[in-house]
Amino acid sequence: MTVEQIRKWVADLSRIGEDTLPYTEIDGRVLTPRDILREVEANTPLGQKLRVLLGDPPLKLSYNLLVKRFEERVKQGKALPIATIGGKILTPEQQLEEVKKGTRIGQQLLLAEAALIEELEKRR
Amino acid sequence: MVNPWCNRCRLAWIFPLREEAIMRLAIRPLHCPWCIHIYYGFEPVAKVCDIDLKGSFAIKENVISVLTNNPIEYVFGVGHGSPDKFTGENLQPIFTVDNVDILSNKHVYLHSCLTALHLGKKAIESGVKSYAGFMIEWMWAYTPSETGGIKYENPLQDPQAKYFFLAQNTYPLALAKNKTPEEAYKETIDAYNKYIDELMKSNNEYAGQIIGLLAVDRDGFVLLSGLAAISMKPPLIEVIAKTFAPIFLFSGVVAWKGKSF
Repeated sequence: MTVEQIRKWVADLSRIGEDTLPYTEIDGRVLTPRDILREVEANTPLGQKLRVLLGDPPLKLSYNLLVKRFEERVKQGKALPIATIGGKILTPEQQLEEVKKGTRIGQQLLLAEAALIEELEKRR
Repeated sequence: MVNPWCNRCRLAWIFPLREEAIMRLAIRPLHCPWCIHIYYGFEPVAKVCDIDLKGSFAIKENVISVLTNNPIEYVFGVGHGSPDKFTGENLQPIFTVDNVDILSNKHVYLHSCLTALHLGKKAIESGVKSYAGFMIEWMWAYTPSETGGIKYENPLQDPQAKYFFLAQNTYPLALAKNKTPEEAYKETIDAYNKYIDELMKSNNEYAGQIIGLLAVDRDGFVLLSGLAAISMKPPLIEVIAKTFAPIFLFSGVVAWKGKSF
């Protein structure tokens, strides 16, 4: 991806508040789209690596990255309460507890994070 | 030959015999805080049904009576569920793996958690024409009130929750327009994708969370048919299995990091 393409991608993500959530993990570092743009604009070795990586989907995600994303989503106030037809109502903080406990709902919430990235990647 | 002076003929003309019609039954309980959403969210579906067993009427005895005495072709239900049962008012079981044969020769759609895992499969074995339901806990996000409760009683008026109900109602509404289950299923998946696209282009600060949840709901929705064991598989399952090594989804069983459920 060119620098310009990455700028546009980050601007699109920014509109829906997704530019500041962990998106990928590289060389032990967890990076948000905004971090990626910073590295690419500064043309650092990591930025060069990222440009190549972003040009070749699909992105690989780890379980830990999904958990970090969810933690950040709650911390940044980007989560609404949810309900399930199974009979639960959960505030964002309670959702995070479900994620940490590894319950079925918690795992579905992580699956939702994975599915979101899948949808974002389809459109990148 | 209709005799205009015959009372039976006149009655038959005014009230055509229901045996010749396709009847649809709606079941929608209302007994807990979140039931308000599923109850009102299902209202457009209830409106296309001939019989609407709502609130305290959504109990097993009434459902069985309606199914026994009317030529019901379509059963559309919303309510709490588990792999083995679908419940109505006050969580009273309505359909279980033991009585699901009462649905034979009907098209069944249960907007309920997890029923596609066992109940749906058992229904197909018992002669149900088609069965649409979920392999997952169907979840939706909503706008909270200032006190933390549900702000909008009707989720279709909630700017955040509406996407979930609009997308999911596509299935029964398409069946009511005489679409086949396969066509209705495809329309439903398309509806989910349409709302995901809409949210991607929005300025909604919660769009990310809603898109993720919509995608999981979409991919946990399955159509089981008597003609093919599973005619429609959730698309995400394959993608996830390919993309995320720790996640394996198959035959309705999810295993993740050694946990299974």
